Amino acid sequence: MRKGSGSLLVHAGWFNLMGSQAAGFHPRLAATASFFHTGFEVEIEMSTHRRITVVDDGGVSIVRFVDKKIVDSGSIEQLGEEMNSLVTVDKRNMILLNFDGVEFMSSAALNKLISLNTKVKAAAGRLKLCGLRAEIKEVFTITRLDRVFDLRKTEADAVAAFKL
Amino acid sequence: MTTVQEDWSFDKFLPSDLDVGHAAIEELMSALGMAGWEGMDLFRIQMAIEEAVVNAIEHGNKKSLDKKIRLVFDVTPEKAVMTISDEGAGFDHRNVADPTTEELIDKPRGRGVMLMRELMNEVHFNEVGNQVVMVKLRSPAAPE
Repeated sequence: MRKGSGSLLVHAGWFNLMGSQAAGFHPRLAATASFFHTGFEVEIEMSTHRRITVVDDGGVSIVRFVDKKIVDSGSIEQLGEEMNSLVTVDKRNMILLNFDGVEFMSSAALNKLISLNTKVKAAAGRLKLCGLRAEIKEVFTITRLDRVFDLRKTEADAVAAFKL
Repeated sequence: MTTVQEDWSFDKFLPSDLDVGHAAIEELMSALGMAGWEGMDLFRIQMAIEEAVVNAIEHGNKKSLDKKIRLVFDVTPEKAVMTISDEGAGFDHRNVADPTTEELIDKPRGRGVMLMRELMNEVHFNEVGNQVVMVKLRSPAAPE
């Protein structure tokens, strides 16, 4: 199992604990947490991050965004750290950012993508983006970042492109 | 059919706080929606106003809580005029480096002013560069 990720069996008592500590909850600690035995069990996928989710598909790390609007400066900083840690901590270098569901992102968020791209390149990896709605794609076109990033229409297109 | 509200105006001095700025942007976006704005136009306005407000708070006022920003919005169903002022020293808006050049294209900064100019119909800075007026005209409806 990749560090900090995977499926955990969570008991009912855990939900209260999660709710009361949501602000300071660190997902990486969840893997070693002990649970209460209070009744029914629910199996959930534990995310390793708070601003993104990551799924592996044949060596490609598919990243989705938790926020529909990537605009809050604190969240953007956290997003940047989480994306960078995929490369610097988890040593992933085949990364697909899937923007399905993302309605808005500011240029501060765009800057985090550029930083991630630099890190992926330095790790001899590849970064692709998919699922950008027309409005966001226009921002990439205006800023010419469509020439810097490999933009693909769908997740399937992008995953296939990694295998070329 | 969507109910279109009458014209909407907003004129406030606000502290140099990003959360406060974002709350004002949300008010603007809500008013635009009520005035019948939608889709690409709404996105473009949000992108441009986001850049202008963040610039005013972070680069203009350096997040100093002693300094205010002033936001003036005038919204009609056909036109949105947004004036953003800060108490900073301004900047040389006539000589903003082109972020699309080979040297700067992969640098993680410097796209805000370009986006504002590209996404709005008009963008005017005052002489010192601590006030910007942005005008967006509603795009014609796409043929059905």
